[in-house]
Amino acid sequence: MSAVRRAKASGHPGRDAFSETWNEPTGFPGGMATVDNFQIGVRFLVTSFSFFLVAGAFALLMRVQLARADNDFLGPDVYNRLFTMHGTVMMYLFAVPFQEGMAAVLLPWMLGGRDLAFPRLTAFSYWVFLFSGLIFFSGFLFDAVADVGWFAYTPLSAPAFAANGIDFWVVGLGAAEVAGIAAGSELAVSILRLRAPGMALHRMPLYAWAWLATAVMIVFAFTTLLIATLLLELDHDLGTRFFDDQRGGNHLLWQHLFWFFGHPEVYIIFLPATGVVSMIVGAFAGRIVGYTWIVVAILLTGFLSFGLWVHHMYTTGLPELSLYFFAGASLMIAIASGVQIFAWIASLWRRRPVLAAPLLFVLGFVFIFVLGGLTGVMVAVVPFDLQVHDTYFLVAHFHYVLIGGAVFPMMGGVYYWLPKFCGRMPNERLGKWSFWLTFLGFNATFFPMHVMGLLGMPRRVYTYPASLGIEGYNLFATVGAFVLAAGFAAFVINVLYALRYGAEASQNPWGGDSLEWALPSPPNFALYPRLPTISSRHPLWQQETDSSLDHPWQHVVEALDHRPEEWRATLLVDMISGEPQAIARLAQPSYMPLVASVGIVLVTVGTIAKLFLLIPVGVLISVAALFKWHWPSRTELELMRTSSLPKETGLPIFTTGSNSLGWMGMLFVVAVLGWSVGTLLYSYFYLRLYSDEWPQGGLPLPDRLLPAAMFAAIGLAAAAFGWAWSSFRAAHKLRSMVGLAAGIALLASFLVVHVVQLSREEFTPQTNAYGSIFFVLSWTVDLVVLIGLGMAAMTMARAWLEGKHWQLFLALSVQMTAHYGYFAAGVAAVVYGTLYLSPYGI
Amino acid sequence: MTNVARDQQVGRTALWFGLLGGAMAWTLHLMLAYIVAEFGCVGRLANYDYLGITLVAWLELALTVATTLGAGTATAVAYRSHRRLRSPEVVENVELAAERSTAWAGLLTSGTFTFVIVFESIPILYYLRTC
Repeated sequence: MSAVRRAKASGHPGRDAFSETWNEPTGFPGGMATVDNFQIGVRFLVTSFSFFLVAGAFALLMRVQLARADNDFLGPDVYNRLFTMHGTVMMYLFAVPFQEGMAAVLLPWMLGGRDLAFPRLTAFSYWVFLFSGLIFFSGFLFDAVADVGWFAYTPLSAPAFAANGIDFWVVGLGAAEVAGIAAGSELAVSILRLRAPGMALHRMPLYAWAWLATAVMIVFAFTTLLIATLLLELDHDLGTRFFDDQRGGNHLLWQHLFWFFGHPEVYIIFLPATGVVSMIVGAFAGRIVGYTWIVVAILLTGFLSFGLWVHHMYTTGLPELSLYFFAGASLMIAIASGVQIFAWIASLWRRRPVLAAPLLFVLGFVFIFVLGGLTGVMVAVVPFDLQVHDTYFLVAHFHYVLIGGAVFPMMGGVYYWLPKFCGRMPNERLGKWSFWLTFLGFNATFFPMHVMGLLGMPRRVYTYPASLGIEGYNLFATVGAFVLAAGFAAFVINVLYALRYGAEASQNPWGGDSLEWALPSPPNFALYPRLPTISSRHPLWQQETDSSLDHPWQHVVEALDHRPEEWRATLLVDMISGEPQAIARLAQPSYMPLVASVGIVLVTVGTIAKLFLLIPVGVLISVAALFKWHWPSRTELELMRTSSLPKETGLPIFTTGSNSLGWMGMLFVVAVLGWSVGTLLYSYFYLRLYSDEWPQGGLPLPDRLLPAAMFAAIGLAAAAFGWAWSSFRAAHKLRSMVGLAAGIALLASFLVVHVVQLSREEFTPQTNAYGSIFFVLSWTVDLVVLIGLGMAAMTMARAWLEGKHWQLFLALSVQMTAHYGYFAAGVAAVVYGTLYLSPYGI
Repeated sequence: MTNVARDQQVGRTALWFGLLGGAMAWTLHLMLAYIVAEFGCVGRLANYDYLGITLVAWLELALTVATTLGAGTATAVAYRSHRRLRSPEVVENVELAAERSTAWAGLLTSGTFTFVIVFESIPILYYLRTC
């Protein structure tokens, strides 16, 4: 019996109270408040798969249209809408959210944590994702469906050409990005800090490694798209000129921003799938060869994927020299992918694994992805790409990469983990049928497209003349598409069958090595009442004896066995070594994530329906919900303060800096804001580069003095917050309060004067692109300041209300306010330099 | 690492630099190389030349040398950490397994990125006089 299994079997007097604390509210209203990773993860899976089925139906309609030359089954307008919605839904509402759902369920199980780091953020992410999907599809109700492709190139998507469907597309996408960023931040912090004691980085499951890289990529890539879509929406609703070439804007700016997201997006979809493959291969082969090489390949892929965006823009007339840096990166990423492929093949070599459905899908993945990778190398070569750009060769290539590289592993992953999810086995015979139908159908559909593309069939065109000689290929592809759909249908039937009639699953039916297989199937709400200790990369294969008995953290595990009973806690470990560093409090169920997401819905509805009054109402609701969400329970704080766990474990409960989840969360907020500012600065200089004059339109150079004084106020506020923090550490409550109050006053003064100053500018955001980027960068500083103001005000209010334990309860809040203040000051300095000094040539 | 002799320890900074230094250098190289190419070729930089080589190409070459040195240093630091953690005195020490693994991953990662920087920069040699 492994350490984990024995732990599960141990009795404990506090079991009932502990379970009660971790129980989730039930019923419909309770379900709205749940923060349980399993429930929310499953919601992600079901919702995103439903979207997948709808988008798949769109694809079938398109294939029927293309089955014959000069067909009129669908008109061009409907066809344009269908391919837009197909791509959009698959990329934004299925591929990433589905994998996020899997990760939300699996990561705490695999890592030995009791939940994800920010359970309420998990819930918030789901609600926003659900609403974003509904917003996308609600366009059908108003005959306002976008028809600009999943990439929405300007000027096609700009106000001059796009129909009102673009609002649903842009706003829905914006909400989906918020959900993705929230999930990415949450997963990254969870992987880095919420692991079982002893689970050092080199013992972490490869699935977690893949998700660590992916989560960080999501934060940066999605933020870029969030800014891009925001600029596009401003062009539509506010009349800004970012993409209006007539007024100093630049339509290519959209492509840069979009593909800076778009290419990493492919790897954001692909990398988690490789994690699934590594876990399945490991279980079926009984080993994984080249663990460190796979980790290095994941890291290489994560970084290199951000260096490929221009390879989608070879035909846009960029300077030739710049193209080759990206061609080089595009070629090199094949090495990283190849390393993983070879490691999996080596793991399976001479192992005689059972060819069950999960492994079949993995083998199908290897075959298809290698083909997609090879064509990827081909299109990375500039001269070849110039020939096949916007032809069906590209359609074939990216479907080989995305369906082969992600959908096959996802299906394999569902078959693999389904027994753990529901305690029942899928039907093996039906599983094999689903694999062969999917595999053959996929290749029949997409392989001919390589040929069609080389013969000159363009993408995104609703029909083709018979004289092109590609009708036979198209008919074959259409038949293949229906076979593929039959494969997906068999998969769905099998999952539904397993849920109701499947044979009872053993605890570890595939012989996996990772911690989730030591949990009951399905696991309880209270994951790991007794935390497992890890001393091996393969705990279920190599920890046959209860190693926790002589483990250096035995006393920690004992102390936390079914404890604490009154509040939710898990261990926070060192990022590299996995040594316990603190006891972290996890959030209780709450309606606030739902309320905050409803606020976002109001903002989106207000934007789409041009009911602009709804926007501030939505913002107010979201902000109020966020305050309520983050306001700690006084009772919980008291329970934490009086807990004996610090004495028993030697670990603190009230922590600051990187030893606290709150600070780690703020790090990601700062990363998102910083990256947003960076994206806008790039836009500023890009627009300036292609302008004959700057400021545009003969506008005068900006005044430097008043803005210098204003922006200096942010620096002074940061200094005041820093002083507040140092006074706090010296136990001077009054001085600390004075520092916070001074910082708040300075920030508030900045906002007031800044608003007045902006209102007196002799240009507006609508004047030209210079005015647009000037105002948006200025508003971004205001937003950064507003967030700082909110943090400081909340800290101040708590300090005012706290009694004698203020120093224990507030340390983190004051520190975070100070650190955020430094960040705000940095942003202010950079934006000031850009807006007010750089036009002078400084 | 409390039970490990001080001279056998490898600092956290060295480990992180070894692991991520090469990647950071590559990121810097690609971003700056792109900015110099796009902004330099569209702007005025391409009009200046020294020794028959445009200012854009000089900047690209200088950037390549600097970032290759940066990535190479990260590789060397990772190699040094790895060698120290594989020395006979500590190779059996399980307390250092995480550090050892990180150093090895850093050696592979930073080494590869050093190669990628050089590989990506080969085309500069074909654009010494033009963009």
